[in-house]
Amino acid sequence: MTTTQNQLQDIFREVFDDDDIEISDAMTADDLEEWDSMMHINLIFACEQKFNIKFALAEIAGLKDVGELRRVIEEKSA
Amino acid sequence: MSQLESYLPAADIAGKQQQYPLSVAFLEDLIDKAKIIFDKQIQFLLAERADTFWPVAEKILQLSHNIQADPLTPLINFSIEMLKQQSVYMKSGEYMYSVDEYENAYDDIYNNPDVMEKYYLHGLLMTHAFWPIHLDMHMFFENEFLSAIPSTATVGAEIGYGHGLYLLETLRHSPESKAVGFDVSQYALAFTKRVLEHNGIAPERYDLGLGDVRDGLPYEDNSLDWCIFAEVLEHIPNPDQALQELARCTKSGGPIFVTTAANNRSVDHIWHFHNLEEVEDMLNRNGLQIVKQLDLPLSRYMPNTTDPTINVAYICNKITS
Repeated sequence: MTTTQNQLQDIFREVFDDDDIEISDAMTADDLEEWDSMMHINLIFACEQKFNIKFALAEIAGLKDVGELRRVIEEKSA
Repeated sequence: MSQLESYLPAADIAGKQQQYPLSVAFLEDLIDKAKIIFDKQIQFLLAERADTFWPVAEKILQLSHNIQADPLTPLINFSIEMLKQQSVYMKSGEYMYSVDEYENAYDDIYNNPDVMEKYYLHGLLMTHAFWPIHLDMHMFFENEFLSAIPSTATVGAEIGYGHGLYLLETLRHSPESKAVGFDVSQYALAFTKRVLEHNGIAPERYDLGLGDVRDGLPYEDNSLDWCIFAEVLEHIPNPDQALQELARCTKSGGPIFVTTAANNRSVDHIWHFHNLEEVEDMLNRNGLQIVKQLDLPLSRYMPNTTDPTINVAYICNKITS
């Protein structure tokens, strides 16, 4: 796991209140029952705070999987 | 491959495409651009509200098409902005502005073209098909309010007409009626006029202007056959006075459509209802009796949610002594 992935895993565990979550780049909302629109916004807020970045609305809406979320974070943090 | 195949059998999609071409194309785009935001809603709409969703979506998309405006980005952006606000509310329990800060909401939203023109008005309009709660509220309006308008109705009003959908549907339903009304936003006025003008309503059938409900309603006592006051109560600092004015101006027996929301933070909600009893007390103490009511707690649509939002719609009559 990359550093970003590790940090992202911590965020997922905190937001979903589940220490057993193991994320992967291929993981989507279909793999996590609780990952609905509100939890997605909570995830985005947590990422914005942790990485000190801002997501555009189109980015928030268009994220397809964890890998894409990680890539956007890495691009914005670079 | 169609994006809709994860929601509907391929054989059904072809049939829907024939009957509801705008809706199928829009859903394909919506799933492509914002699946994460709309996935659960689309599942619900197609499984639980197919009978109403498809024709209403097609009608609203046709309306959008007629005003030559892109409906997709406004719906997505409006929905995300509302989710962001409610996410904050679920942690803080507080609204963005208090009743003393109405002017902030006016400056940020109603008088701000970057919000009103870019996503707010058109986005909110689109939710009346694409948000299950707003679709149900919209159907309540069609089934219960429109049918309560007397056939002899000649004039009614919408206060805070916003996107104009309810005015359009009322004027279509009640061909002898004319409509008056005002909104605080110049952008709402322009948008609503566009909606009416490009969807077959003759300009002599409406007289819409700008106004502030804090100044009361500029209509005679008992002069209106019907009234619409949708999603306004929670936006204004003086809901009691506004309801008294509605009761004053509406004829005895004339239907008054009122909607609001409790525990629902938005960029411009300033009156914080904590439960529906507060709303009903407010209606009653200001001269309105509830004739019909539709409670729409979010938990009915998402049983596992902890989001305390409750939308509600009423058909009221003025109380006559």
